[in-house]
Amino acid sequence: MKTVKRFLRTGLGLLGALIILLLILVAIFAPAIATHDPNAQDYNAILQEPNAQHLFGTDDLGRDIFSRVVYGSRVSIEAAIVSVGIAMIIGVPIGLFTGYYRGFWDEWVVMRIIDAMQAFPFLILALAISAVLGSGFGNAMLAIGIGFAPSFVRITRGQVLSLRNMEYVQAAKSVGVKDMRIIFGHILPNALSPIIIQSTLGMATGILAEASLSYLGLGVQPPTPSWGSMLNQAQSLLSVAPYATFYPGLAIFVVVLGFNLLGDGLQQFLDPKARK
Amino acid sequence: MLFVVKRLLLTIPILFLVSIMTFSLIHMIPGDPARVILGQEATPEAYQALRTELGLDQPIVQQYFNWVGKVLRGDLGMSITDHVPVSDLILQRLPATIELTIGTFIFALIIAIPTGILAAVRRNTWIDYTSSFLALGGMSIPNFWLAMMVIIYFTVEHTWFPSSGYVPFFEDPKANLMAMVLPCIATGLRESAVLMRMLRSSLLEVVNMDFVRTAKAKGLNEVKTILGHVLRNALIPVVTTSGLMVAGLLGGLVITESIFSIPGFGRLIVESVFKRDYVTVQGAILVSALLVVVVNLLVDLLYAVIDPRIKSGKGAD
Repeated sequence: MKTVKRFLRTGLGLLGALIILLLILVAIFAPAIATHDPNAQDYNAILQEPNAQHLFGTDDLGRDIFSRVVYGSRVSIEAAIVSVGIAMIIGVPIGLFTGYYRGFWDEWVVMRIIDAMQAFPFLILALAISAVLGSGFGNAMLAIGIGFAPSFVRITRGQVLSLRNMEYVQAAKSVGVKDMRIIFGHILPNALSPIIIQSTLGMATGILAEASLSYLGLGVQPPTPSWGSMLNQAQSLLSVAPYATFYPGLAIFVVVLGFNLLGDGLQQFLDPKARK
Repeated sequence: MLFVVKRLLLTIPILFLVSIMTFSLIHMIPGDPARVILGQEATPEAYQALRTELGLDQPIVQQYFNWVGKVLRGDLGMSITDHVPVSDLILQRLPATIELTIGTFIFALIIAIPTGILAAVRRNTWIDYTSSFLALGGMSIPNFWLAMMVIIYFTVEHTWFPSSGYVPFFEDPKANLMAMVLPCIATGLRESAVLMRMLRSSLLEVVNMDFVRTAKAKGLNEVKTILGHVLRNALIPVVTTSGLMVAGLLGGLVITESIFSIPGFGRLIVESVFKRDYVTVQGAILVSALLVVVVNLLVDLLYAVIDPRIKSGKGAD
């Protein structure tokens, strides 16, 4: 209870958590919240400005923008979870093992590969992987996850390096506890704070990256509503229907802000140095 | 000197791995790359010709060394769709991207330095809270959306700036600068937010150190203390962030260039991806990674200028 109270005091972190909670609720109850079928085309209602029937207006195919934004939240949540999930599945174990065992493989192989991977601009790496594997949501997520994994390797490894010489780890070693148990039972739980913070901030990046790839036509494919692809389709309507770009972009902005606020709040909450 | 040599030597394995990763790209294509590029209807002769052109009929190790040999001579291959050397395509596209990067960086600095200093000096006041919240907001804005919003405001509602297009600077400086304003704002706002946050936290770490207290005790006013003592010591993380930012921008202005129809390096990559011109994609990605490696190297060397303790091997702490 004390912990919850302490987090509630972070203020902006709480605001971030509320935004994300709202996003999750919107995604779950999308069929109930949406006022229209997100893919239904109505040629009698093309490019209507926001009105009582179409809260955010309609696009050039007469589709209801509000309903598409509501359903688009599902893609964004999936993007956040799947991309960060892939990055963590790849990055955290590598960081744990290289940090714990160190030596030639850590110094000269894994870390140099990480250096080389980080030499590729994030979006370019994601673009290249998408180009090779083909467009589509799954490949976009894989591309973003792979592009994002090095940061998890670095953070986890850094934590392990500082924890591996702690007395409780040395004590566990001296009584014969097996390496696997030390790594997953003793080191990982104590290394979790920065990993949690990184994954929260990573979800913001994941959503932006998915929207970017979808905007470029390499992510979610039509007619599935995604905020990035909605912006792509609305770009040609800037002079006639600015609202068609405004709402999907606003949705991305608010949700990414939510994850960033939560990440910052968690940092204040979990990191004693930042708390000071 | 030892620091410079050590840093240069560290770059070699990274370059080697970057080359392997880039080379592997074309081999990651599921199935036969030549078949994927040409499609199923291609004649056996065309298929075989492309395999020979790409060197796919040779053992993989041989292919890698042939490719590296060519790259070292500046030959990045021939574009499959445009039939011109990839290096020529890249050289044509780089000036616009470099100009956009410089413009974006200058815009980011103009916003970040005063707000970062102000937020740190007036810590825990409304100025700090407002600028920090705005910075977080700036970091959360998708730059392609911001680009569209500035186009709507500055081009559609008020015809102050052109919405797209690029004129080389030496052809028409005024038209060039006018065309660059909106892309620099759209990209620079986010970058300024990142820089501002970094500068603020870096200044806050330095501002409580003993030498700052001494400077104040000697009677130095706040402006002189900040500009003469605090700023220089807070610069290292800011220089790192700036370096990473410039490097990232050089290869990562994909979206801004696409929205504003700027014929830059990022747009070349996107166009090549859609044209399935894997040779150009491969060459452009290699160049973007090399740019990052070179900029990072320059930033590390710059550290030694900013903080002589690094050059002497004594560390910054």
